[in-house]
Amino acid sequence: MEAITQTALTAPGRLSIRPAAAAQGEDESSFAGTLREALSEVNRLQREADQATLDLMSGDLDNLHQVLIKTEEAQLALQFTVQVVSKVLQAYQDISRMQV
Amino acid sequence: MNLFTSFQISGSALTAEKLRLDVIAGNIANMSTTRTAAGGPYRRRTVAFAEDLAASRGRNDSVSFHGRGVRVDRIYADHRPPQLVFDPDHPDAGEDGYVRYPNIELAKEMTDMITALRSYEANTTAVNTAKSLYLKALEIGR
Amino acid sequence: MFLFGDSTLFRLGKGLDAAALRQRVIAHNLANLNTPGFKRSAVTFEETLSRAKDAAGLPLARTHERHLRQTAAPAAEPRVTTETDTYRRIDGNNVDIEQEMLEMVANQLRYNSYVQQVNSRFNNWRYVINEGRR
Repeated sequence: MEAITQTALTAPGRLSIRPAAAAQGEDESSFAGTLREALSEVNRLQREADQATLDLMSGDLDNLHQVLIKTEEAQLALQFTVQVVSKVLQAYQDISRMQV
Repeated sequence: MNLFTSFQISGSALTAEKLRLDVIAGNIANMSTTRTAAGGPYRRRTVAFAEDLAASRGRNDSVSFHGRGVRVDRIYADHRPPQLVFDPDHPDAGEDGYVRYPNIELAKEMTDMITALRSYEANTTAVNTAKSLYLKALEIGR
Repeated sequence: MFLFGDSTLFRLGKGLDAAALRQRVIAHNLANLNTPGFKRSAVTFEETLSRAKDAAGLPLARTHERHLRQTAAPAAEPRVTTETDTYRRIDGNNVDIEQEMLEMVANQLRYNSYVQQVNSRFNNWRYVINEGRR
């Protein structure tokens, strides 16, 4: 659990500690950049899960547990990103509604 | 290697052991057969097993294990001399009055049969264990 | 598979790989109970893992530039070894049916416990993501 709080605090939406390729022409520290990075990571996990599912169907797979683990990872990564996005949007709306 | 390699390995053994049981049953059934198409008495048959190894590596084969179970190498006929029993009235008796019976010992066939049966059961257990592992894997993420 | 940098999850996945491979190897040993001259194989993974764990705890200092670098602890990968030096039967076959059956049961239990651990990790992540709602 330590890892998730840390990642969430330092870089919201970054799903992996593996250095992801920096989005081109985008300041990496900006929210849009981080979000793009997170989405591409989610996309990568989804594609991995898709590939595993295809391998499962073609019988070209060593181990059943790997498909299930990959699918679950992709699902969790997606849920995590959606949660972060909705939290940030809520924060933005809270600020914009603030009386000054 | 693919998803159901475990089943294929144990399945090859079930097929092989079943064939061995069939051959033993044939030996017991023909204990007193004195006349065959090839001429002469029935000859005792034995099954020879050999380890089955995969020849080529599959695309997702990440580990170097090529075992694919067992295969029946060949079924060979025993060439020990037949048992001679003196019985001049028997239609298959030779000029000397001796009948040539197959050289089959019932006790040996029975012990072979028990061994084959035990091996068959052990491989059935392996199939069931493999199945329960697959079912357990399906519980991931639930 | 390195979700949220969870290396324990990664190792659990490797453990599951090893257990699935071990099932295959034991099935192969059992299939060759009556093959003359057959030698049994075994999978080593847990032993390698514990050795890697021990090695990681003992870093060697390099006090001279010509000292050899400490090699990294071997990555724990399941490995198949064939036991050629034992002898059990007159035909050279060294498979012991009782031993294989026991290892198969132990391996099944190990697989089940790994699956349970994987699930509990996933549940933890889900709990956090959903802010305490399951």
